[in-house]
Amino acid sequence: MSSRAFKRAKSFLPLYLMLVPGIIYLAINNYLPMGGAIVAFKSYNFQKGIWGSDFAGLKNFEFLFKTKEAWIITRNTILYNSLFIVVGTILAIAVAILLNEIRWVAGKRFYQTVILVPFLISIVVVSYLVYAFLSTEYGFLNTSLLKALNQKRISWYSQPKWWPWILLIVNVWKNLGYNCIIYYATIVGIDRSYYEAAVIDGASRWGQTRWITLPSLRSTITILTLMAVGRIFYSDFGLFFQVPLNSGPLIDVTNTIDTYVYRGLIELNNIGMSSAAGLYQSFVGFALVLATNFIAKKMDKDSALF
Amino acid sequence: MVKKLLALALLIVLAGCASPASNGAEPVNSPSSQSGNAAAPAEKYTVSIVFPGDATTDATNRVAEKATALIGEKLGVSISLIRIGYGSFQQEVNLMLSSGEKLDLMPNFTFNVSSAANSGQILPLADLLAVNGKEMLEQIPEGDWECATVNGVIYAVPNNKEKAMGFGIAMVKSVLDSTGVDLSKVKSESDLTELFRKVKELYPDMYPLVSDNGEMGYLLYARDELGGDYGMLLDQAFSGGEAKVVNWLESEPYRKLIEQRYEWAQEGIILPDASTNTENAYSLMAAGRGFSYFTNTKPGIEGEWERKSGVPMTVYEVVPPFSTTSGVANQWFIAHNSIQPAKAMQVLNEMYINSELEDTFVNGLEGEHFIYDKANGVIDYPEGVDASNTTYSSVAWAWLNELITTPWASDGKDIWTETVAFNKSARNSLAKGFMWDNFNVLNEIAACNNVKAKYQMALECGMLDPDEALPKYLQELKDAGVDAIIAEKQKQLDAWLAE
Repeated sequence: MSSRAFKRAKSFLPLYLMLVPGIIYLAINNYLPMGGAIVAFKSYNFQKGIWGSDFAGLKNFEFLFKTKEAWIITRNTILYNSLFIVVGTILAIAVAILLNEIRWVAGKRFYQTVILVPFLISIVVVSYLVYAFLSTEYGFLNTSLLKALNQKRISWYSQPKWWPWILLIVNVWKNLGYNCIIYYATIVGIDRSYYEAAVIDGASRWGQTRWITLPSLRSTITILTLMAVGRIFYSDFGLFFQVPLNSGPLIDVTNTIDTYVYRGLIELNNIGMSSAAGLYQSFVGFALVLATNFIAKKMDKDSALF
Repeated sequence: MVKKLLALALLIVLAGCASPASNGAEPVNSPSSQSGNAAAPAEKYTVSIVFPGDATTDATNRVAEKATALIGEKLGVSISLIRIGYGSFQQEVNLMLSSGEKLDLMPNFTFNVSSAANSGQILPLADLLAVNGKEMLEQIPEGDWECATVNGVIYAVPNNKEKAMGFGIAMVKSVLDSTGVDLSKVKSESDLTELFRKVKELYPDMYPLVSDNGEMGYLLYARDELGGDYGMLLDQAFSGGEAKVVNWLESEPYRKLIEQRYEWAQEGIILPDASTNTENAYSLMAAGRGFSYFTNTKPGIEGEWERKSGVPMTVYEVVPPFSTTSGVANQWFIAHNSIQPAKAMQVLNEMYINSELEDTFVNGLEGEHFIYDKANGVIDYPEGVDASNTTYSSVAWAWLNELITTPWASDGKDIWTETVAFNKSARNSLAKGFMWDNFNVLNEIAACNNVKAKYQMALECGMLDPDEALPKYLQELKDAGVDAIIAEKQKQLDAWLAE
């Protein structure tokens, strides 16, 4: 090692030291257990343990692909998540920009907190909030809104057509605050002198947003989107199971990979099949991250994740 | 769920080195464990027991101390008891079983003997019973042991409790009385229509039939579910009919039942959106919004409903008691990681025959959790204690032998005699003792369970028109492979009957 490189490394030493706990955590929590993925290929026996259990080949995976349901759950999972990514990102950026425009400090703090609150509420509580709106007998929509409009009551929990919208609204409402804060933090970090220069050149508010704010956000958007794409094969179990109250007639539009696996295996208590589902989801997620990163790299070398 | 199970799998890796092969049947033969007191071991073996339900750690520890005081000397053991909430019982016990944490005895609560035996979670018991569980082996009838036998080997000890089931309807007594309807003519669900209409007429704000957290309770028709998973025997199973496994959902009786439910829902007899109702049936009754619910029947069931709803109730039995393998489904296991299964078996045997010990496990400590009313031979809560604030909740039926414990005043002192009579009066299924092993059709079951989730509750709550929904339901089940499940079950049943 040349002395220059050594010096350089030495000056970063404190930073590397700060990295150590995180790496240890990741290694123990995320990497070490990966060996356990082998359970997905085994017929698990408690007495024989993980390594001793007999191999079952791909038998544990069969139930995921066997029925025509497989197509519906894959479609639902991917379409919902894509919709959430697109709508969620656009709204989060819009709100972050608006937040940045607020000059009244106390007001800004207030809005920030209020937007974040839904993110911190347990999904089970959210499902009851939604129920308070949608209950056929006592729900707010039926007793106030539809009544005022002289419309007939709607039995929300037995009509699938409304649910893609309901789920989208609930998801965006719940997760907006978190993404918004990340974007907001990036916006705050943009050098003010760009804006000053733009004002001198006669740029309007919209012009400043279009030509300075959005381009500066690009790498943040790419990273957040890449991470979301990596989880596109996972669905928010609470959102798709608790919020529709596990209502049967809604299943065609609310069944995703996670709820399918839950409903299929809850009584079976089969570790091998559950692991198979988890492994399949991670594997596809991993492949999608690679693909998206590849595309991002093609479009703009700097904004790719790796 | 997937994540949790996966996390569990991962934990096993972490604990990987801790799962030795030394916990098999080997210690059974070690001389020291064969006769507890003769060997006089330097250290007492601790028998660890897990049990569901709420109790404070402090109270649980003192119950375990009392149990140790009762049998510790005799068997050379000390008792450790852990109570785990209902919701997390399955997951926590799964974790104990896979991580090799110390565990000896467990009730099968949420576990099924056949899959627990096949996945190696529990130990075979035949040899242990012969040496350390003689009294139990003699006292429990042969037919019950069959319900705990997997592939010809006994894996569990069946609980002594009511072993049969009847179906009926639980109703708010004051409302029933005011309708003046004579129930003696009621022989099936559809005979209830007149009563429901009358209730609706007299109490327009009350729903005559409600659901319990989205469940409609029992369909009033005697059948042998043959361990679950779709294929079952219709009521001819109880009168020596043929052993033909059918898809219950495709059967005539099922269609009639759900057609009736749909009519009721149309008339406003059933609570609207019953399948997404998030309240308990008894709280709807307590609030005056519900009149009835389809319940199972057994001695003491009326008292059980009254305790829950807080109002006087009448339970009318429509389907007389019948007994199937699942009637004997409450059992106790010895965990595969038990270090001295012989000691565990001795404790289990003691639980079955020693009423003082079983009283302690079931009801807790005298003076603190209950008081003994010597004159009437019953127990009751002490001053200021009730089911909602006791530090040791009583879940008698899940313990091994509730029939040797002191009855609660609210059940009456004759409850156990009534229970024995109830068991005797039950009609036995021709397939009682048959154990269903679903291993070969797991994929089909996982797929069918998803179809079931879509239709079952909605149909049984009368939310869907059976003329439209039932054919779709049956077709989707066929696509998901329900016929393969039924064929597999018929094959296993035929083989079992031939034995």
